[in-house]
Amino acid sequence: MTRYFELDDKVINSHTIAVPLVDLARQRGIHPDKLLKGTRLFSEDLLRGRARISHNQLLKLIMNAQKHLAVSDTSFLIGRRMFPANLGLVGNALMSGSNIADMLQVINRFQMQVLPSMFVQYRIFDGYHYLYFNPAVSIANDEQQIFLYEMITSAITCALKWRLGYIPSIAWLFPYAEPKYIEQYQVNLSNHCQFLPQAKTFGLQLKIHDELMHQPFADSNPTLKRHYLKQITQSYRTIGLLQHILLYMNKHQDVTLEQLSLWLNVSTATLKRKLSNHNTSFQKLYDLQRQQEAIFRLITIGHTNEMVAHALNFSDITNFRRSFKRWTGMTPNALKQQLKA
Amino acid sequence: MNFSFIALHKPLFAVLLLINLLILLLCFSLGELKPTTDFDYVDASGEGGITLMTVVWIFFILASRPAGRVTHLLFAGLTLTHISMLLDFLDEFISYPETSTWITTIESLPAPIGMAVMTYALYQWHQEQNTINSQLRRTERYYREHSWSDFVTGLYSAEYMKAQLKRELELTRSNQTEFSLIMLDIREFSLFNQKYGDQHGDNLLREIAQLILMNIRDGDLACRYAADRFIVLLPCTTEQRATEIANQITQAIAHLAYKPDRSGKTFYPEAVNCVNQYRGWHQYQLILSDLNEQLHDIKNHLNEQRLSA
Repeated sequence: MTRYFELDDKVINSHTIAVPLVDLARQRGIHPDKLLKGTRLFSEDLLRGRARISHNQLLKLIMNAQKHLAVSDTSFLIGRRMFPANLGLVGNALMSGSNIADMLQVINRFQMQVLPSMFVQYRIFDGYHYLYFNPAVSIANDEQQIFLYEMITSAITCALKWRLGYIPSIAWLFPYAEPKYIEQYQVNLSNHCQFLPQAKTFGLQLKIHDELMHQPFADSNPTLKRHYLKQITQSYRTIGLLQHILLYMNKHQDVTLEQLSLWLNVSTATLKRKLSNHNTSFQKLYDLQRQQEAIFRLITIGHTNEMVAHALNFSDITNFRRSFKRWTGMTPNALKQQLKA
Repeated sequence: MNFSFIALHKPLFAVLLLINLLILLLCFSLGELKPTTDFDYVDASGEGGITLMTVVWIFFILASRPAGRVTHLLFAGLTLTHISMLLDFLDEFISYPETSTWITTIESLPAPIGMAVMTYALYQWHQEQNTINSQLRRTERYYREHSWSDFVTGLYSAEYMKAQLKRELELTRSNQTEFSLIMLDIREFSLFNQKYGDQHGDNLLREIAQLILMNIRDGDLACRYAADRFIVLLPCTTEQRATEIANQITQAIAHLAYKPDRSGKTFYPEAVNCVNQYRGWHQYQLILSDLNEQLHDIKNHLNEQRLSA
């Protein structure tokens, strides 16, 4: 039994994103067949509701939606419609969770039902939680990745508003340049948004205060939550290939390609081919982890270059600066300056 | 491309096809095919191209217009022109005996008649466009760009407002006047959506857009900003006057009794507004993000009041 799934494995449920996308397109006067073109999906299968699709099909569907709908609010609308109705039993459980931390735990445990395409990693510093949303299956094209980011930010904003009765103060950091349709971010997220195009592989970052994280909701109900969660049949936990690898790399800082392929029980050639199929490489994934760590220490904690270089096992600062420039196109100090401005 | 109008014009396409067939039949029965050595290919390709173009024009006219008097006139004019072109084109391949040369004398006759009809039709089209333009007032200023339209409300989107805002800022700076912006947001709109469904959400937005249009003056411009947020540009208007108008819009929206179905359920939407006056010293991006933040603060304040009440 594999513990991870790949780009073309049909394991993702269609009612969270795919069906709402087709519905929205229909509402906007676009025939479902146009949206499904090239995905090898049929609208009858989708509408029957229980269809499972692959990550690749999902990305293709998003691409078609971007082409035919050609409006900037699609991702935000899909995100808004996600919670709680499109999440099924997990949605119900989330509605009775006791605080944000509790909700995140449920999402993490039932990631497959909620968000198979992305996974969340945490860092805590100085009373704030930093949530990183990284691609879990493959590195998508920029447009589709931005779509997924926008969708998840919109869904989270909507969920917070729903549970708290207002939109709390949180801060988003997007790993791309400010889009032309910034109004969608202003209205749908109603929160501080910063854009950092230099850190393309940095992932989406959400900064949230510890107090808010554990602020009890007025309408929580642990018994009801347990009741809903019990009904979810989840035979085994499966996660995307990249998530599987990145989590392992996180635990084993200086893993080599050989060690990784040994652990995955495939040859190095197969692993290389797999990674290139998923639009990435061993070196890129290795860099991704270290880049996130470096930027977090540098910007958020405020470490000096020396401290970051030391923490990441660089032999000297020059080496670190060179790597950093390769990742972001900027020296550490230049990036610091830019973020302050 | 959207060709839903085509279905309305099946009879016209039949007429066009019939005319083409009749002309081919007539020409071949009167004359006979020239030997291929006599073909002037340069001439033929030029005339053939023009003939083909007239068909393409007819197609696009019919594809973009509903049936009606002006459409029929345009079709008649273009078809007459097309007849001349086709006869001219066939000349290149067919030689006529002495008795039938009349056809070459009259072949250029339909074209001028067609052009006259076309000219009249274009004048009628102009009149029609004037009527449509007057329906567009308050949603459009000086400039048309269909890709910036918002499908849901029929207003222009934020992109259009940004362009107009840039222009207005320059004007205001050079003329030393002022202008005002109103930003409006519907309260509890997401709740409404959850309760009644997204189709009703769209309908409500469309009706609110109409209400906004009814309550602003000619020369003002209303756009959909994003989601349930609208923005109105009021040139040469002080904040005081703009606030009056904003409150009138808010009142009008408060009196809208939206009925999602026939069951008698009624929803009364409530709007929050935010008004600011500008003299052209700031950048439009800053103005817009600032206005959004102000509106956000107002909404938060109202929410706090509600929670503590």
